[in-house]
Amino acid sequence: MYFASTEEQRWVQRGLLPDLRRQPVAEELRGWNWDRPPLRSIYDRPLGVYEVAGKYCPTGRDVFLRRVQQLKTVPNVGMREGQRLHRVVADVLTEAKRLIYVHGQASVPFLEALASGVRSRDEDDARPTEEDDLSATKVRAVRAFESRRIVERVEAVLARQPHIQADGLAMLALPVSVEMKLDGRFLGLSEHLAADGISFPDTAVLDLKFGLREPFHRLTTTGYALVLESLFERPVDVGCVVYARFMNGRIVVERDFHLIGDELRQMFVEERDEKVRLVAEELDPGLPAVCPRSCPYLRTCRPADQGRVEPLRGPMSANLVDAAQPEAVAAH
Amino acid sequence: MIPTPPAGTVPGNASGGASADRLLLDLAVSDVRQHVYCPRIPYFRLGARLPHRYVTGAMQEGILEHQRTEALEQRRGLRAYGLSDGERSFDVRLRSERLALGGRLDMLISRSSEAIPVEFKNTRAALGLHHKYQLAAYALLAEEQLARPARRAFVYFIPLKHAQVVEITSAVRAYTKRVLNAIRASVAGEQMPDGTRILERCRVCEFLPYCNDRW
Repeated sequence: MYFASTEEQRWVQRGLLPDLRRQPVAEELRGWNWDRPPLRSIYDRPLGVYEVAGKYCPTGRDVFLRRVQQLKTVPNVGMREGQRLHRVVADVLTEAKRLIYVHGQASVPFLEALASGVRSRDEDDARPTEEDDLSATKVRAVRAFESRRIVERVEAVLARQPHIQADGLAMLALPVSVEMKLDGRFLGLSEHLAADGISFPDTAVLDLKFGLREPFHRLTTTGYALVLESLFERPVDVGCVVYARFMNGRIVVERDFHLIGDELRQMFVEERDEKVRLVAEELDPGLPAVCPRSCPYLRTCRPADQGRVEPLRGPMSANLVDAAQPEAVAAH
Repeated sequence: MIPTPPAGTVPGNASGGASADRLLLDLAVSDVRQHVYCPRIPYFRLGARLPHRYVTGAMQEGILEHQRTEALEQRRGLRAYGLSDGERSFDVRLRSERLALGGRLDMLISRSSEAIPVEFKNTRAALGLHHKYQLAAYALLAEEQLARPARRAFVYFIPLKHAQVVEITSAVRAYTKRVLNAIRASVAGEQMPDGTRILERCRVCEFLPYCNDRW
């Protein structure tokens, strides 16, 4: 999912990065300036990146209900499915790296067996539910897709570098760290953040979505980029939201590479300040004019008023997966 | 979070040229700059209708410096902007009925393929974000008025005799429109926005007595 095509790499190198060189990011919006405004948080109520960046509820009432009213919800079908698929991608990549470190140049046959061999943590959960059959099909499809891509990349590196050792092979073929745990406290965020992926050596932030494309998805990569800058004091300028969907039994992947420029950074900080204020001051922002059908708080907010619910635009969105596996909440 | 302006007519100073079913509050480009600097300044001016700001000695000096620069610019070439051709106009009035936005631009460079707004700044300080979006707003206006793209703009720093480019990307355009929406939403909703987080700006702000939450 995370490996860019040649065209995408060219787009980043010749389309996006020259723009950044002509118009550098404002210094006050770099994560390493977390100790002064506007990045410094004014409240000590850490939030997850998914809470700041997720604008599925236009007013942010989902954050108010979760953090102030302490309401827990049951993840919906889309969220559960997205969670499973995220885990499969992470598990396959992790297992592939393990096989490379164990077998080195001889790892290809083992990697080829990944498609059927590796069992994701989620697949070990015995949870017979009505959506299990469909979900299991998608899980197998994702696992097979990822495995084939990994084999192809490892073989390509081995063909070019016949004397390469295990560590170099893993780095060149699979230059992505999955489920990267990050401490966001410098920016008033949770200390247990988890980014879907960070690619190296260019340090691009990757976020995987199995639902519909939304304009605010880039705020997620922006949040993690700011956190990375606050931790490592090195610029992180490129993000990519990976959209994976199923079409006629195949996986279709679209990658939205984007610069993490002044505008996204400002929008993330504005969202953080607004949402952390809702929580700290215990302000109910009220209901939006129309609620998204996939919101897990729908029955709480609109127990009877179904007329103001957005009609489904496609399959039940799995984009809310982050809410199903929230970054840990610091004790208040 | 920047609120969305409510649908319908915004009472008060509406743009006569906007469509009848969606009258927009008329804004000036300086409102964009002020909002990015501190969102309360345009709210105080447009929403609370507080007395208009007086011209300080420093502002008067800035105006004179602009005039001197404009006179010098007429004799200069376009080398400072890295251009070989272009026609310059000074103190250009720009207006868009569609955006309900207007302003006076220090200098506009017209080329066959593009329009390039230029603002003179009498400061040695680095380009601020408020200036960036002010230029972006001018770029939107110039684009509409000259019917040609504005891909870039310049800030000319008078004391440094140096021009700095500002790329007018799609993200910059979108954020500028977001600022316009935010100003209109705060006025229409009679909601005083949060002030700037950079409190050193408050020390010299004429509206400080009205804020009541600054020190």
